[in-house]
Amino acid sequence: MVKKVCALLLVLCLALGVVTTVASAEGKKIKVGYDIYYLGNSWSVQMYEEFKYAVSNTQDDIEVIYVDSQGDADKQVANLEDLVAQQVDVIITTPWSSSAPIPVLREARDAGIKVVLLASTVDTKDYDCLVTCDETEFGRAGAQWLADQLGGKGNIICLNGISGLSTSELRWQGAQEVFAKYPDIKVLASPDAKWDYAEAKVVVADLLATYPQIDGVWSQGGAMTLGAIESFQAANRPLVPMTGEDNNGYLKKWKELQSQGMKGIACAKPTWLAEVALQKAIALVKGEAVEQDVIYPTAVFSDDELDTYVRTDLPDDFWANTHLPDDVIKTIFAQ
Amino acid sequence: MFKGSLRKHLWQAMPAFAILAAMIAFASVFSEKFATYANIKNVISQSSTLAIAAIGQTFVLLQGGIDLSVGSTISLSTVILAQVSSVPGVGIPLALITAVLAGALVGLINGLGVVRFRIPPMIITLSTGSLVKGIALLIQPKPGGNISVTLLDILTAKAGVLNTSSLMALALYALAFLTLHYTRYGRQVYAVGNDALHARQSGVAADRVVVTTYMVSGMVAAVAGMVLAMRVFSGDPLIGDNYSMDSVAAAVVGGVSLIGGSGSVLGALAGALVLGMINNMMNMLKVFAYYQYIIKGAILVLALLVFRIKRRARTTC
Amino acid sequence: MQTNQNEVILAGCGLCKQFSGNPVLTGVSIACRRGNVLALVGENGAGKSTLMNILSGGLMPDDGRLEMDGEEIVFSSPHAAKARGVAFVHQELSLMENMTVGENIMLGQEPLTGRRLISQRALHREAERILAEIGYHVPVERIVSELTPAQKQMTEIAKAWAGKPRVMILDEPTSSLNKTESDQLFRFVRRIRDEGVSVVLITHRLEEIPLACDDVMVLKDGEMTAHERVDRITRDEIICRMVGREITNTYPARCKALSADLLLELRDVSLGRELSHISMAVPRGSVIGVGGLEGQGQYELARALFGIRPFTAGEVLVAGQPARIRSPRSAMRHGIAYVPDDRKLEGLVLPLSVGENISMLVLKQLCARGLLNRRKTEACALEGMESLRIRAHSHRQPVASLSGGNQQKIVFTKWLQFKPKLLVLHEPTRGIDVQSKLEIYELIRSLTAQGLSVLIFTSDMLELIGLSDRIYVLYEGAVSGQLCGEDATEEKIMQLSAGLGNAAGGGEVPHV
Repeated sequence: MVKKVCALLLVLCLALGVVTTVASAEGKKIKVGYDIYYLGNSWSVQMYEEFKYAVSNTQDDIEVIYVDSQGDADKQVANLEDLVAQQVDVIITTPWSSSAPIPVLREARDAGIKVVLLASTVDTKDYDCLVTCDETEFGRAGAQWLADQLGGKGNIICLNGISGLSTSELRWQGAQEVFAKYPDIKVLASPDAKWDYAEAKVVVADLLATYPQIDGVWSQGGAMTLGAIESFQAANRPLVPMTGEDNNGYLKKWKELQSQGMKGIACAKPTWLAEVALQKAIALVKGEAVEQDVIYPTAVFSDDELDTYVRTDLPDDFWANTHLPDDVIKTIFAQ
Repeated sequence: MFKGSLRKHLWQAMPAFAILAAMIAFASVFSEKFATYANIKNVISQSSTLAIAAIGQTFVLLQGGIDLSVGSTISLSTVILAQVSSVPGVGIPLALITAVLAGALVGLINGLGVVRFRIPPMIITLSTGSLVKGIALLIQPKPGGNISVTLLDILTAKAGVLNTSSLMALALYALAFLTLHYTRYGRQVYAVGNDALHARQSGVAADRVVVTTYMVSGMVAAVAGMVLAMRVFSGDPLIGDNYSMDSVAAAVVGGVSLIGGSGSVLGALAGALVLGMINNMMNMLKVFAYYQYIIKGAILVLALLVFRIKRRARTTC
Repeated sequence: MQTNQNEVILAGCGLCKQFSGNPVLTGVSIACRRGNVLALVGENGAGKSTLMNILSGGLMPDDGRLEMDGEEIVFSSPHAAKARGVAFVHQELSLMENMTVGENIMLGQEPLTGRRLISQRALHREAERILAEIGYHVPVERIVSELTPAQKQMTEIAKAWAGKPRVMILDEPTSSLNKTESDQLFRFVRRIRDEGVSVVLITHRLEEIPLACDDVMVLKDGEMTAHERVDRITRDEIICRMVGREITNTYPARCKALSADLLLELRDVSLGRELSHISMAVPRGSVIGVGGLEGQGQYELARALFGIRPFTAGEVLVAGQPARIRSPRSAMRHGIAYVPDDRKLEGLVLPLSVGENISMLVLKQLCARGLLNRRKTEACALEGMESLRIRAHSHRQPVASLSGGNQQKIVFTKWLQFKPKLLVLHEPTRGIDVQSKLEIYELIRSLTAQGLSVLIFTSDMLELIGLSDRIYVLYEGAVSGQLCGEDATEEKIMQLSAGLGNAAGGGEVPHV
């Protein structure tokens, strides 16, 4: 029995050995610690791919250490601590919680490690660079378009992401600012649908059954708008103006229905933010001057621009606002 | 050195200690950063929350129940700390007392549900867990809040690689060990886990024992929540979710029987360290994320397998 | 110390108890005297355990009262009785499997140190002392799950003794002990008697009575039929008081001659230590009964036949061909059906409907294109209900809501759908009403008339005699004798059951 146990342990050690890359001490490589915050939706996956592509393209001599936080604030803190212990030169992270990573990021900076926040922020200024786009603007842009479409009057439903997450809260805040200016626009309901296609489909179907008159849909994006359209169709209800994100599934559906008078808009949070984050990170380590907040305006695609962005040859999970070249996109989405 | 059934209970914890030792040895050889001061400090602080939560879970498991509300109680405790601790003057003691009382109350509800209304432990604790999560979300819908800086300073004060939180964990383990193995109450917990009916016939107030283990679990979870709140310096209504299952896993990897009556709280400590260290070890070895899942699964299965093999070897001879 | 040998410590007066309408005790009085060992004997189901449970707080009497030291007393729980000095050592042991012998013995009275912590050293020393008093050595630091049955029994007795009882009730303590161990136990019993303890000893081994007991009390059908000093009553008289009922003609006529065509034959089969060298023959179209005291291997034998825990040695022949029965599936392939003793746990799916239970085993035949055909299922259920006269409102009624008799009939129907060749029945009429009982007896006979064979395990002596064409009696996992159905009497079976040699003989020996 002792033999069996030893054998099992040995096998495990070997298995570990195979997948372990023993770090070799080389010259002046830049050690980048990249925290994969989440791989649970196609946007986060594409951003991760974008980062890897940027790494393979960079001219600088860098080594990347990946950690995987799985959308868990607690685990993210532990991962960041581990990156600090590995004495990387710079950390790139997407904070899952706006407060949890504050102590460890402070600790990292005390240890001389640069901190780059990618696509989401924390409640302090304890970072070296923040690369993101304006989330309230994202919400505002869609809401304004919707208000204009409705002529400032009508019943709408709003689809939110995940309450408590900064992205979701900020976009919703932006939308509310706009709707507040139009007293005749009535928000019937604003449930969470987790940026998820299936979730949205169910939620919207329920809302359609509850409210006989729905004039518009404001959506935080993701794949939710696609789900909303399909629920409208399933319920045999006329299509109404809907906002969305640059998710290819939504774009394709929109394109398909454009001839039938479907009105839409796509706000975009680019996945190439990851590429920028890497550039900023390298610049910081090299001692170059980097502005603390790199905040891009929200890109908005309207009806006329749809054709330039929609990719009917790619699956629904593709996100239009990317810097990835076509061959890389094809390999990623061929899988 | 240990007499009586304690020897058996500790023997059941051996696989977890062996795997822990193997992991430490392996990681030290293959990563020059693993055995550094900074990293050991990390491992200890990363494991403290789970290690503490596993104590309460062990009490409940030993008695033959299971507590899946631990995670929500932890979250609630972080939220209470974030909301109350920075009230000037009375804030800190008030926050600590409120959190522990809340934990005790959750445990009381669980315990009464099990003994009075005969609701299966898994169901009642899942239900109260959901209830508590709802309350935490109502109190504070998103991460943040104001944690008293004084409290942070107290709980993260360092003594070598240990900080106040990990010292607190060690003290709780010592206390739990003494209680479970050297008091009549502890003996009763084991007796109820072995056979509640016969324990009752032997004069054990089984219902009272069951209720108190759930209360211990709730209070200990509240303490775990405090430690977690200090780590993330905020209250977060969802942050504890994973701890319900992880605390069960830690105890079971540490040789605590899922059907009750055998195993030791020291095993749960080893189990919590194994679970807490897997992630850190993988990061230190720079194992890519996808493999981490596989290896984590392999280590957990191995821990339970070793236990199984050992047991079979004993029953066949 | 021995001021008054006849002083009554605990007495029960006019105790009555009913279980769901069946009287189990009818006005029994008993007195446990200081310094006296009382043997309590009676057939299975005579009410011994019920009486002892009432004395020790496990049950409340419907009528009658308990007196302790001359004053009326009510025990609210076994623990309350124990606190007053009444200890009951059950047959099913109450030990904590994961604790040591010492920890079990001292449970609830652990010695504490000055700081209120348990002293394991003192605890095990004390346990050792108590075991030494009993005169039996069990390693005190061994974990209970690793003990032999005899060691467990002794630990259990030590645990009861640790509470310093004034009345000690032992329920068949010698069933797991060998001769030397039994003698040790009796020496202990005599010694504590001399110290003034009152002992009640339930036993089936009549030869043990003179070794340790002063008085004998015989129960039959919930009534006391004898209470004598041991030296004034013979073994035969005791047996006579235990039995002696009229066998009424409620039993259908048995078949006259047994067929020479054997459906099932067991040759020298054994199962671990529980069954040893059993040989049996079941001719086609016969009812073969298996009797004996409880726990003599009936349970193991019935389940081994159905492959639940297969035999470890010996040969099984089905219709003359060697058969390997390793699992219930393989037993079913050989045409064997098993109606278990615990129908609620093993025979039925209580929340499901009558129809669903009946069709459980033949779902394959009721399917069309991979889906269950509702019409066929219903037909099967209705036909089954009809043929066995199952009284249910509809086939959709959940089985849980039916009476025991109807539930048992459903188990029968379920198996008959499957058209078995051999029906193994384990306590088929336990806990069911008389009417259903008679119907089941009729059914058994009509099945054998159709060529089916039935092997029936029962602890009901009358049923055994009334139904069986041949009877095998088990004693300590072996066949202690066999009787031809017509020759069988309760006396003969009791003697075989008590392991008193093949007094009756008779019947052809089917051994090959």
